[in-house]
Order: sequence, then structure tokens, then C-alpha cells
Amino acid sequence: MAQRIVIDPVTRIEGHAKITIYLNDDGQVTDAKFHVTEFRGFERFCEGRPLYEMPGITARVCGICPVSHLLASAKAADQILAVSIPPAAERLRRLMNLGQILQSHALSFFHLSSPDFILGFDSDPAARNIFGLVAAEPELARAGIRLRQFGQEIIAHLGGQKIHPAWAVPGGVRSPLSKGSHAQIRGRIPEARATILDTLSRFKRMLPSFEKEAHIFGNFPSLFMGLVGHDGAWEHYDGHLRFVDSAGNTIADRLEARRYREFIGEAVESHSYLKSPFYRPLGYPDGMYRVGPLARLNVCSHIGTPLADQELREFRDRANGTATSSFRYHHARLVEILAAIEKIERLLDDPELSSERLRADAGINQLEAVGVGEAPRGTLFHHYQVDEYGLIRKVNLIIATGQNNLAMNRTVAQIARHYVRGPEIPEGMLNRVEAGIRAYDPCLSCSTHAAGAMPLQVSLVAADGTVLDEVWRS
Amino acid sequence: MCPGTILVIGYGNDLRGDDAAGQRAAAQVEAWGLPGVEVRALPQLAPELAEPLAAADRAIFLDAHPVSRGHDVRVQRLHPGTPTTRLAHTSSPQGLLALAQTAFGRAPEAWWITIPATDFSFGAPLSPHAERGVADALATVRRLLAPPAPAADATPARPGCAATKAAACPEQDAS
Repeated sequence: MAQRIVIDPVTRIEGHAKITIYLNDDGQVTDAKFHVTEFRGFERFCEGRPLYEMPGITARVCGICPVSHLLASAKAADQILAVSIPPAAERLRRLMNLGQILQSHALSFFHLSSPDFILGFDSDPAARNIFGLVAAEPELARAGIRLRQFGQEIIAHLGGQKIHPAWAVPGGVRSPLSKGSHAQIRGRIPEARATILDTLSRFKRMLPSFEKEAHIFGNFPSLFMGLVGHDGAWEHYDGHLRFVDSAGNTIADRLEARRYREFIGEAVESHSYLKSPFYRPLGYPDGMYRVGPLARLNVCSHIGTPLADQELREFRDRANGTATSSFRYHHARLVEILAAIEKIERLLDDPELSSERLRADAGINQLEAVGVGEAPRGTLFHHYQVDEYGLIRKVNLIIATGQNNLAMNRTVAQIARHYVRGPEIPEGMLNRVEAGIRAYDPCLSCSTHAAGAMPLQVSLVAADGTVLDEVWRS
Repeated sequence: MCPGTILVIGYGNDLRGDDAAGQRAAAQVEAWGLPGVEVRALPQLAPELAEPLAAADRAIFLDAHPVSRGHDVRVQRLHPGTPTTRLAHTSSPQGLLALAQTAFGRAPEAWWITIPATDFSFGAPLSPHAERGVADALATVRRLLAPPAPAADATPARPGCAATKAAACPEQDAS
């Protein structure tokens, strides 16, 4: 009799989900599914709203990465107005996005994932949290809290508030960076840089003890997609899309976001509200690709700042080229934090940043546009169609976590095959399945445009549908 | 934040009717412009608040609380939660106090003022019930902001730190 394991809810991720693991008659894992069980329907209720409201509305998709939605939405709106935004506005948007990447990655690494690394995957789950981290490594924990605070403050300095700043608007941004804010951000850079360099050093020393996890946490060939600059450099705001394979071959390059339907398909599965985008030329599900920090480091030729480029070379050396294990998302996040800090410092030196020309005005000049940017978790698309009055007729959002859906499912199956032997869920397996999902830092509020806190449920299910074992963690 | 400061944190979703009550009350406290009182109006409690909390002498949290009609504003003395309290991008007041205590060595005396809320509709204004609750909550905040009676062994104010001046109550100012 084949069997099924259910993990419900999954903890220390953003949102609510459960995992089902299917066993055959011999007790071997045959498949695994990561279910996202929330639904909100942003794409539908935006219909009929004025274009000018869209950045503010879509920022409410998420309390973690509102800036990513704000910017992708504003970029789509820029195109509908058919304007080039002032250079200062572009730089200020970049600054805010870097603050967003920094704060989100810091939250993921220090608050959500580092307890696994510092305390161990098999340590007491009750202590495997930020408090356990403080007890074990108080300086690291405090530095991590302050690093995230730094990213949040950059957003607040620009947007007036840390969460849901309605600051980027069609045609530019509402307000400049004040001299006082400029000085405060600059003043915190040395501490932030020291924190991330120390954390990178610690993490790299720990890596040899996680070779097993690196081998089984989503270690498989796939495509990777991300934005790159015109010279192939790491990019987070503009540029073009590139796909590479696991051998590092560029299989598609200089792709324009506005033509995304030619190369990205969106599959829907009955077991989840999370869509499953795929690389259309390879079909579904063979067109699985990954996005986010790991993908961005795999698709770019270089980062363009000295310390981050040095870390990128080491990252690639450790992975023997293209990094195929999703465990390496954690390392990639740290490299990207360093890149963000260096790029923030450069932007602060840019005299254009203080220009008072911040917004281009125009009416509705195009009826369709696609805004794209790199959210902390990966590439984010906002596709709008409007009528001649600028009222929204259709919205399609393609979210980073959704683009990692196929890879997350495969990761869960890979980990389960390694640990599950029979009809019960061993504690070590539960921890590692959770950690395997957490490596992607999924944001389910964004990916289903859904609300809720994220606990974990795992179910073990026989072939006849009988639930053999279930574990809940609230 | 200087030692001696009182941190007032009002939180909730300002697009969801009465859920905005905490932020609304906090904005009013900020308008009082009291020395030594730092005010934050936020959509949610985030872990980075732990550091300013640890530096404050006292903290007041203002939040909406769903109730049926007829309930009043409630004031609850808060203590740090257990260190197993789950913290990610959002938290509870007790969780934040626990993080302040654990990570930064101290947690302030803290109170939680909950404002009765009955209508969480999208885009709705505060209900009359919540409006009255905000007014009652502000009266409670005034009472809590009143300087404590000086103790015989009171620590002298730190030179050069304006925030060590005890916060003045607007009602007292007026008298």
C-alpha cells in the first residue's frame, strides 16, 4: 500500500503552506508537493482601478517586500506614460531597492535561517530561533538585527515609512533624499560592511560541516534566470533577462521583459494557489528554472564592486562553477548584502542623487506595459493593460517565489528520499524539509498575493490516499 | 535613543477601519510634542524595534483589539514573553520585549493599551466606538506619561541628554 506524509504548517517562512510526501508500496518516496493554501486575488481586484493607484495598491501585496512591488509597478506605469524618468529618480529607486534587498536578506539569514547553522538542524526546535541565536552568538545576533534595521531605515529615509511607502510613482518618485538622511545612511555603512564581512567569514568557516545539506538541499540541474546589465553585470533594477543552465551555458540572453510570454509559461496545479512558471521553450515541467540570489549570481558575469566580486569568485570556486545546490542560496544572500552595501555607498557619492528633478509628467500614451525588477527573492513582473483613461483592464503578476515553485517541490522530494524510511516522519527529516524550503526564503504572501503567518504541516500519504502520519508546527 | 526616553508605539493597518486606532492614537501623542517621548506609528511590530525598546525607560504599545460592543479601553502591564516566542518579520509586544531583554540586555517597563475595535472593513474610517476608544486611550497615555514620583535613590539625569528630562503631561502643562 503506497503512503503519504504531510508536513503542515512549514515554519520560519513568510506565509502559510503544507507539504505532502507520497510513498509507494515499498515505503519509498515517489513524489512531494509543496502546497500554498492561501488566496487573495490581487490581480482581479485591481481591475478598474486608476493606473496611478497601482504602485500604492500592489505594494500592499506584501509587508516584507513592498518596495519590490512598488518599483515594478512604477516601472510598468512609466512605460504606459511613455516617459524616461529623471536620472535622480532612477538612482533613488535603485537606492531604495538596495535597502530592500539588504533588509530582506538580513531577515532571512539572521532571523530565519542562521539558528539552523549556529545551533544545528537537530537541535531543540523550541530553542532554534532568534533567541537561541542570541544565547549562542549574542554579538552576531545583535549585528544581524542592526543590519536589517539599516536596510529598513534606508527605505524609511526615502519613503517616509519602512513598510508600504507610497513613494515611487508613475514617472519618478515623490521626494528626494534629504541631506540629513544622506549623512545618516552614509554614517552606518562602515558598521554594516563590517557586519557582513564578519558574517561571510563565519559562514564560510561553517560550510564544510554542511556538505551533506549542500548535497541534498535542492541539488539538481535546472535553468537560472535573472536580470543582468548590458555588460552582463549583476543587476537589480533594470537591464535585460538572461537564462543560463547548470553548466553555465547562456541559453537565452538579452530578453526583453515586455515579451515575457514568449519565454515564460505559467502552469496551475490543483493542489496549490501558487502558480508554477516555466521556461516555455522546454515546456512544463521540464522548463523548471530558479530565480533569486542563487540565480542572480549564476547568471551575471560579475557584480561590479571590489569586495563583492572577490566574494563572487570564491562563491563560484566553492560551487565548482555554476552553483546548483539551493543550500547555496544562503551564501548567495550574504554576497548580495555585501554587493548592496557597496552599491549604496557608490550611489551616495553620485552627485546626480541630489538633483531636484524627480518626476516626468505625461498622460496615458501606451495601453500595455510590463515592469520588471529584482525583488530579494527573484525577478518580479508586473504586467498591466489599461484603457485610454488609464483604468486597469488586466493585471498579471509573476512573483519570485512562484518561479521557484517547481524547484521547491523537487527539493522537498530530494530531501524526503534521503530521510524517509517507512510510514513515520523522523524529526531530522522534518527539520531538513523545512530548511530546504527556507533556503528559497519563500514569500507566500507575495506568491499567491495572499495573507497569513506561516506555520508548517507535513503529511505522509499512502498510495490509496490513507494519511499515515502528520506533523504540525505552529 | 537616550536613556530616560519613553517610547510610544501605535500599530495596525491604517487601511482596515478600526485597525488604524493604534496608529491614530500614536499620531496624536506625537502631536503633543512632548520632550523625552519618542513616538512610532507603524503597520506592524518588527524585530528591529528591540534595540530602541532596550534603550527606553518606559514603553507604551497602542493597538486595536477586536471586541463586541460595550467593551472599554484596557491597560495591561507587559512583561517580556518567553524566549521561544516566534519572531520573524512581525511580532507581539511581549516578543519584542523578550528580544530587547535577551539581545540588548534590558527591557523597559511596558504597558499595552488596547482600543476596542468592531469594524475592520477596507478603507473604512474609525467606527464611533473606536473613536471613543482612541480618546480614552489618549487619556490613559497621559496618565502613564506623567513623571513618576522621585525616589530617594533616583539616578540623576545624564548630563547633556535632553531626553532624560521627565516627560511632561499636556494636562499638567496646562495647569
